[in-house]
Amino acid sequence: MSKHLLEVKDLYVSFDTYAGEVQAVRGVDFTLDGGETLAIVGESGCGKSVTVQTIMKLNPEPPSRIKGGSILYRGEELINKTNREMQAYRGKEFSMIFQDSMTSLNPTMRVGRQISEAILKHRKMDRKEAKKLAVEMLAKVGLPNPDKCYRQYPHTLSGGMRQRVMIAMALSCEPAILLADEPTTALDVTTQAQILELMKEIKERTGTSIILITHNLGVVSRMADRIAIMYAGKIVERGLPDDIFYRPKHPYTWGLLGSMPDMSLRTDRKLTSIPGTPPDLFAPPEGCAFASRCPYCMHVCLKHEPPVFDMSEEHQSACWLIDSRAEMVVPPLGEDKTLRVKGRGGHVV
Amino acid sequence: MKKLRNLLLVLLVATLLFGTISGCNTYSGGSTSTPDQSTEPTSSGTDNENDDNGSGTEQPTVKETTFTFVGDQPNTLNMILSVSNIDSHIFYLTSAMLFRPYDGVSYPEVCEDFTVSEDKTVYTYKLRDAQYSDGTPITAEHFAYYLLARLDPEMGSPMAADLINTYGFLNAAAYNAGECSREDVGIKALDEKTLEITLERPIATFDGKLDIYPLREEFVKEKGEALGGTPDDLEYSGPYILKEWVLDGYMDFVKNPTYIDADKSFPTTNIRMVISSDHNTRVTMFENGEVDCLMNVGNDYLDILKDYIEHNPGGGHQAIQFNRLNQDPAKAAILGNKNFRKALSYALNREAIVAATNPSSAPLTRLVSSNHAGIREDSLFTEDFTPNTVPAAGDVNKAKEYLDAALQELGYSSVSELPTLEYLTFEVPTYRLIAETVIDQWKQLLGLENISILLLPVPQAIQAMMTYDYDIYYTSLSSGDDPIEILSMWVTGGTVNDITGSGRNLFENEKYDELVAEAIVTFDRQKRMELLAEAEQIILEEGPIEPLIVDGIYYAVAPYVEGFVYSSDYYQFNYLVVNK
Amino acid sequence: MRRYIVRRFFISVVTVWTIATVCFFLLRLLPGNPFLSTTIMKQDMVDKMMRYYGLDKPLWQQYITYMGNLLRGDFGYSLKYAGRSVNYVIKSTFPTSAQLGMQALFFGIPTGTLLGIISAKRRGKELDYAFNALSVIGISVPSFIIAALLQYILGLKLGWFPVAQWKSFSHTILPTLTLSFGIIASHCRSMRTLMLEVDQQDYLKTARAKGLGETRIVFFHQIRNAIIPMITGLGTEIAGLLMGSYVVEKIFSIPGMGSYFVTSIQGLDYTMVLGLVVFQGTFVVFANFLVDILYVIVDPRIRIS
Repeated sequence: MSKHLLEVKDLYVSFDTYAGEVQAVRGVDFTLDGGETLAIVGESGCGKSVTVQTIMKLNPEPPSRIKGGSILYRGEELINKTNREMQAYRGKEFSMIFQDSMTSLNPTMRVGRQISEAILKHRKMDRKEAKKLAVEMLAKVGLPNPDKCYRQYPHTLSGGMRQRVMIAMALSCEPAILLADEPTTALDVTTQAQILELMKEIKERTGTSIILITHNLGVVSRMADRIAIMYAGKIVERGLPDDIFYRPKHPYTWGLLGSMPDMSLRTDRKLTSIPGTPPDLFAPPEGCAFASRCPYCMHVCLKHEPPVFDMSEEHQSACWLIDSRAEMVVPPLGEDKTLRVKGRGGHVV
Repeated sequence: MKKLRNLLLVLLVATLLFGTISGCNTYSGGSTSTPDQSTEPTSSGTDNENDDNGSGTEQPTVKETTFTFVGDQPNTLNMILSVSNIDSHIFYLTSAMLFRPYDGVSYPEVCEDFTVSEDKTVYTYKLRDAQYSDGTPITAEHFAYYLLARLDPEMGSPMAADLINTYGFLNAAAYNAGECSREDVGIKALDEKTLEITLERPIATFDGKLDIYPLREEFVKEKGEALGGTPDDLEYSGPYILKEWVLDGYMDFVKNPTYIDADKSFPTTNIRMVISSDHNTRVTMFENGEVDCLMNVGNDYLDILKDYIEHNPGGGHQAIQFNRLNQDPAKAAILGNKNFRKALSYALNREAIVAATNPSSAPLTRLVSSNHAGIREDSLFTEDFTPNTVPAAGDVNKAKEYLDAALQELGYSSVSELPTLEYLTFEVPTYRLIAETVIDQWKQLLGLENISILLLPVPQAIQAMMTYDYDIYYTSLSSGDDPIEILSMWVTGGTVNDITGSGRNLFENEKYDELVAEAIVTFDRQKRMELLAEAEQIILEEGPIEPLIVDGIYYAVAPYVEGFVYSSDYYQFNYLVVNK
Repeated sequence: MRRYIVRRFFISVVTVWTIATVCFFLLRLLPGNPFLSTTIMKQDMVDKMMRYYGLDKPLWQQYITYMGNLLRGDFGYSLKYAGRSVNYVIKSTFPTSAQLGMQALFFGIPTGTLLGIISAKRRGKELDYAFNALSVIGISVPSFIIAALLQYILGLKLGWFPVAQWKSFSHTILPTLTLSFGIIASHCRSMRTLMLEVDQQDYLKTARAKGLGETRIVFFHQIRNAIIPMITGLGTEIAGLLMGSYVVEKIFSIPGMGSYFVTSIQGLDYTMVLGLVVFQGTFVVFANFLVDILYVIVDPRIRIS
């Protein structure tokens, strides 16, 4: 019915805590098609992990609660599925890799076994075949000595190797979607690059769709087919990479871009950061959630949530500045009047 | 590595399981199956065989009967080091005796007859033929060794002083002090069947009927430190052989065919003494019929078992002792003041104390025990002589009078000026309860607030008492078999009076010493008892102790048991029959 | 690994030796002597007894003699119960105490752990509250009350089990249950806590993300990790239980070792106290030693470097 592989519409997710209701996701929608990589970018606490985990229903139902919306996978509604029913999807249709590979792997079980147990659950193989496949996967993710690696415990592997193991584990059942929650944040830069290369290569080889969660725009620039910027539980801007990097329309995006350290600038320059902190999700403000930190905040921003404006078919932004009644605002430029993005060369907007 | 790990785990589990399984045989008790009787090589004699199946002998087969009761586990069955009369309960069963007491009367056993010299200092005993369970004959030397070993300073027997004081064997004290050799002591075997005892001076209370056991020196030397620890480390010459002793479990006795009076007494063939320290459990066992008798029933269970209960009043005397030898002169003056002591004594309602703390005991207002014989063997001393002493319910008015007199004599204007006195007693629940009750009565009736209770573990309390480091001490004394025993403890130099032998006596009264000394040598029973009664009156008035209660004991016997006789010293199963 | 074992073994031996030495001298500091009892003795009598038992010799000499005997495994004879050797007491009573302890452990630990797991899984529901309440009761209520209740209800009223003594397997049921109560309670609570801690761990999310069933997750991922910290205390727990429980043994009239611990120190029976302390000390030390080795085997993160 739906033409997209994954369609999330109007998703509202809250957590019921002792202190009250935390509205973590407040109306998120996006789509994902086969073979494409969607990057969800935002700072800590904006709700990106919750969104993605909710797709897999990994958040335990109390305290988390899906207040509304729908998640359609290949046209099937996932919202109301029970835990048991979801088990058929998890690992097989979509799988996930996490940020901290050290804590995300069972320390008392050999890594190979952790891979083969997923295989044994979802595919009809016996133990020997599963092991063989697991070893193959380890080789595919670029681990040397995959046989030896199979028998290792997580704590004997390096961070990069562990992350590769997680990828191997996630892909072992050939899922349609790979959800990657900050897969490289915990790694050093070199390894980061390697892992990203690996993911790109796998995507090209197998056609798996990827939802990549990160707060690192540099990572995004290499991988993403489309980008969504999240803030305080809502998507504030979305678009193709060019839209976001060269024609950003939301002050938050400007802030994100501007806060990227630029090697070409002088080193005694202070890093620009967005002043203030994200709003308290116990009681989200009635207007735009970014208003309190926005240098261009207007009266209307405080009172009414901005609607979503379409700049093009792919590029949307939710900001009152775009409304024709607002003043024309020129986005802040860097010191040398350019908005530079790493690795893409500089263009003046 | 995985294989090794698995192997180690398996080994660990296997060891644990194996341990449990092999440990499963720790059960003690099993069924009271009749053990076979020949545990020792049978003697060569023909007149003491008891066949199991009655095949072709002249003797009729003896019916196997078992008597099961709950008693106290002996501390040791080492006759030399044994202190407690719990042990002697068992010796009575396992050993032959020169004279065997039964129900208050001593009967000759191994002794055939005896003669006494004119001056009543030399006693000569002729022995019958008797043997140990392995066939060795019992000789006079063995009885002599029993006494001599307990007097030997090298053997460390704690009963030496007791023996010396009670009997005063010739040179016994010197021997024990290391001043002479064994041969000089007045305990000799003249030949295999003749035992001669010589006393330093005649003792009026000694009738010559010594209840002593035979003990073989070779056996003692052979066993060394292990003597009396397990059934194998004992000699058997008595009615029963200890077949099995499961520590804290039970003791099984089988009738000993070689016992000299085997066919005349102790008809029960098997005895099992169950050792159980929990009163609740004991009572349940009795109710279930698992045991036929309880030698000691706790106070809380008297109601439940009231159909089977018997009471024996004789027991230890408990009294309040005042330390007039206190280092603090102010306190010494108070504690040595007669009126003060009397005040405290008359203020106590002993009947109430008994009711509140221990119903199996009885109020005690005098020193001589209520079951001691009096002017005649069949009369009671306590009925023949009534001293002038505090009434059992106390007398508050008199107490206050005494207190006022005492305060005046001592120079205090009110009782609150008295220095704080410490009441020392054992850190044992019953003693604590008594202490609290006593202190409470003193507070309420005399207004005596300046008094505190000091509870110490038994060894520490005794040590404090022995070093005169106390104000008031709650003492417990055995009452003995004869009034003279408890009264002679309080003469100058007496065992309790001068407890460390250092010459410091709590009680110094010439007249008292005279009376007791004379009584010791007065053979005329009536005269002797009169002297003792007079002595008792003196110490009740002038002495440092105020008697409080006398302990009693309750025991329970099933109705199908005949011939049960209770004794606080021995298990007297001489004529006990179980008709189950 | 081998070197580690040898080294630990050596350390254990030294520990036991230290225990024996410290205890030996500490005992002598206590006021009084072993022969004080309600039988009052004059000082010269006490002196004679001290001489008989060799207690009048200089302390260091007694120590050397004692250590020499100890090396031969001879704990000596009790001072309070003449003729009863400490070895004999241990030999007679330890198997009983050990059996009771092991039964309680074998029943209590798995049961407690299982209840803890269920409790954690059913967190917040009635079963959890019920088990929690039971745990609190089990830990707080003294064992003699539980013993008396069991004796009364299961023994006297229903007549299912014998009330006291140690005569057959059915005699062991009530005391085992009594002892297990505390074990079950504490293990239930600790396992529950451990399980809940593990619940927060990320690898469980990963496991769920792989689509594994809850049972598999609980057994292979949760329990495996939760149970490791529980092993730490196992050594001392086992050693303690095997040494007998004074209260339980007294109530059920079980001829075990527990009472000797109490009475020997009350009566200042030097040899008995020392023997028991060294015995128990050795047990604890080696139990911990074994547990440490077990740890290495069970937790792959711990390896001897």
